[in-house]
Amino acid sequence: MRFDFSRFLLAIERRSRRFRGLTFAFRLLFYGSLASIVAIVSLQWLHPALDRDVLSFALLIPITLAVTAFFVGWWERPNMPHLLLRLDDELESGARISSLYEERLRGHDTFFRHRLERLVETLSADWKRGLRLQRRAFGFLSAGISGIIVAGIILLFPLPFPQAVSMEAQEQSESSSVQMPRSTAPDAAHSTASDEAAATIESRDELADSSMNPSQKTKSLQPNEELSLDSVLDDLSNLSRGQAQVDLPTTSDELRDLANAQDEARQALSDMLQELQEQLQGNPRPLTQQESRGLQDLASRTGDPELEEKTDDIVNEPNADQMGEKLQDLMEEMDPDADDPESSPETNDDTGDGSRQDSPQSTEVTGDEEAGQKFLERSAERLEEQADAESQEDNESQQAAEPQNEDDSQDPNQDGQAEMRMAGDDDDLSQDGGDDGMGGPAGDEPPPGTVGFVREDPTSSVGEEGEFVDEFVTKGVPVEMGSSETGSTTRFVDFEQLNSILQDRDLPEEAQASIRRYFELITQPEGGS
Amino acid sequence: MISEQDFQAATATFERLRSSIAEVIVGHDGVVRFALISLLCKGNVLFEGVPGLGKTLLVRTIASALGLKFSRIQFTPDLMPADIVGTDILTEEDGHRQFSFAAGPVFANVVLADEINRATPKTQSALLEAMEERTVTVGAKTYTLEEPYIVMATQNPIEMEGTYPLPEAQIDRFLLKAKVEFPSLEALVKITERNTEGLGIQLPEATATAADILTAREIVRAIPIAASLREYISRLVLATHPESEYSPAQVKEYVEYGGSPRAAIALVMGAKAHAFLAGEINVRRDDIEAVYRAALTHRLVLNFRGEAEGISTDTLLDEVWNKTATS
Repeated sequence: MRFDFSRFLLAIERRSRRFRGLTFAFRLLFYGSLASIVAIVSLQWLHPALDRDVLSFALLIPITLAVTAFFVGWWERPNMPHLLLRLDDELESGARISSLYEERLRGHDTFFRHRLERLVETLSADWKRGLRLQRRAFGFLSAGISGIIVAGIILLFPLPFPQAVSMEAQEQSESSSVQMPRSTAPDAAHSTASDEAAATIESRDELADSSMNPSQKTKSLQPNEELSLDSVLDDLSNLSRGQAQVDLPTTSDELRDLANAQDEARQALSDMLQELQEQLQGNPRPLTQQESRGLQDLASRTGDPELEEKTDDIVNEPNADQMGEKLQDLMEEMDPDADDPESSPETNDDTGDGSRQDSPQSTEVTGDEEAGQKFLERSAERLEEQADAESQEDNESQQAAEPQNEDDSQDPNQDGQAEMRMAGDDDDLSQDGGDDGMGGPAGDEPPPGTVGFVREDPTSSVGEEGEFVDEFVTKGVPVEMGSSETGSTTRFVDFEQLNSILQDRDLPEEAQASIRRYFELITQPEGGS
Repeated sequence: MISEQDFQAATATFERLRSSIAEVIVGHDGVVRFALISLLCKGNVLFEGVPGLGKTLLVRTIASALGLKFSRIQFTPDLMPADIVGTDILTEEDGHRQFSFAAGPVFANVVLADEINRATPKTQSALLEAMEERTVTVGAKTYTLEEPYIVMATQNPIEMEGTYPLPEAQIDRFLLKAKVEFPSLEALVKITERNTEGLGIQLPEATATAADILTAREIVRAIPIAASLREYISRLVLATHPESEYSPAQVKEYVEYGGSPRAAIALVMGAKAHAFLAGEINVRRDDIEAVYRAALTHRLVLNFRGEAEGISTDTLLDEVWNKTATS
């Protein structure tokens, strides 16, 4: 059979175009896989809520690019003289194929052409080894496939990003430190099913943010970051374990914000419990992990250990029926008047957030306010008297004028008088029903002149069990032990002995009167030890 | 129409020619090959080397082996153009006085311009027309030179005293420039043996005719060369120009002028002739490489910096060759 150089050229051209297309395709497969990784990671970071199915479209980037590149590479006709010379070089044929191509192109019918055709015919049996895919193309192919695999892995197992909040969320959280977003929890309450529960959890992120002081928010929130449910839940769980370093509020505004946040959390918890109860009534089932975490997080934010413990019981209850009962119990405990339509939140919508004054917790808050107001008035009176009597002792009077200063109260040895006064403060609060952890005012803004209180564990106590300890009394003070009418042990100051001591020190009459009055105050039943 | 028999006969003739030359000339196979290539390409060749290396003997041997009319011009500073091309002289015949043309030594088939750079540029330039157009104009009359025609010039290195560099216009007319190197030990032993024993050097008998050479020239021109190799040769020549996008950094730095289009022609034709002498039926990259330096080395004009730093044109050509891609 006569050698057909035209068909030979056609085969070379096809193979070249195919390999050119594959080279382009492999190259773009690699770059496309990189792009898909970047796209998936970016979307996971910027839009954590995006569905995985949506993200999986990023995997089509390298494939689409590769297919397109193949057709582009295949479409372009090769430069035949260059291609043939390259083939000649690879086959070490001494440019015979190229020369024959040139001879045919020029239409020469010389003996050179015929002889070249005979020589090229011998080459045609093994010409394909001269036209192969470059190793670099295989490198791109393997790298591209690896890139796609990596992208798939990232898609299936998202990278653990640190707590990320978008600029928008950051702005919202910053604004929430000034004014609480009260509408979030009620909104979540009206939503349905577990998706709404997730939305409720998301809305509670703002509560967590608002419970932090501004400096901490600045550290934890990064620009261009957005809330991720998982990351937020992780952070919330850290908060519940006490791992987060939250500065204690010191100003009345911060106290009020914290109280509001706890109030919101309690309300959100109540709403979520109600949702769950409605869901479980018709279809008892164990709680999902998301629901469990949401409940625990909200409970941890209420600042009520008892509430947290009961929530944990619900979450850890394997039996769906018993869990439902516990859930019901907890709801009744949180809101005993829930059956009373007049006290339900829906009936008080027209009054806004201030409607919670009708609820029991609002009553407790009111009790806190009264106790706090009473305490402040008494403290003010004492301080005025003391300031008049001991104008030279400025430091002491300043400490007395700052009964809520934690630094002073945390060091019992620094000032025994201040320590005794703080212990009295705690007693006042506990007597006035501040044990629910919701001591803040229930309204949007507390009335002028009132201070919202928050239940806090005593930073220190007198004695291991709160008993009076002699070491805390200033050396030389004549404290005597005695029995009261009820039979309990009490302490009192021997004023006769006190007078003699004061007279020995040649103190002025006014100073002696002030000191005596001071000891009278601290040993009287309502303000003493 | 060139047949395969013609091709075979021509290659066999030149193989015999080379063998006969090699019996006289020892250790200069490359130089002989360049001389034959120039002959096949209808070009001229310049041999450069210090005195005593056998340049003149080489040319005489080639001329003798070719059986062509040979003339030799010894260039000296006082040589005049008329001494080369000839002049009209007043003659008296049968009582009639008339001017008749006395042809100079340039009228031959093989002209040896020995130590061409010893003459003044004016005299050197007297060869220009003969070298390129194969004609000689004296007065108002132009004489055509007989084919095959080739000028084989020798020159001493430029640095030697009493030499005049060839004008660029003239040096460009040499198809190739071959450097005659000092012979090796074995070659030197053979040279001494042949020159000191027996009858001494005997020029070879003619092994080819003018017709053989002209036929071989036709065959050489018909040898196919791939278009991509032509393009490659063009890129090589362009790369010797400092202003070209193909030129490497060293060329841009040290070269004043690069190869002319004659250089590209010389490369293509030289490669074809080289392929013919090798018995190949098409030009290969090896053929181009074989004549690359010889075709370009005398066509590169270094700038002042290149001259001052003693840059070798061969170094620059190596750089061009290595940096120019095939396709």
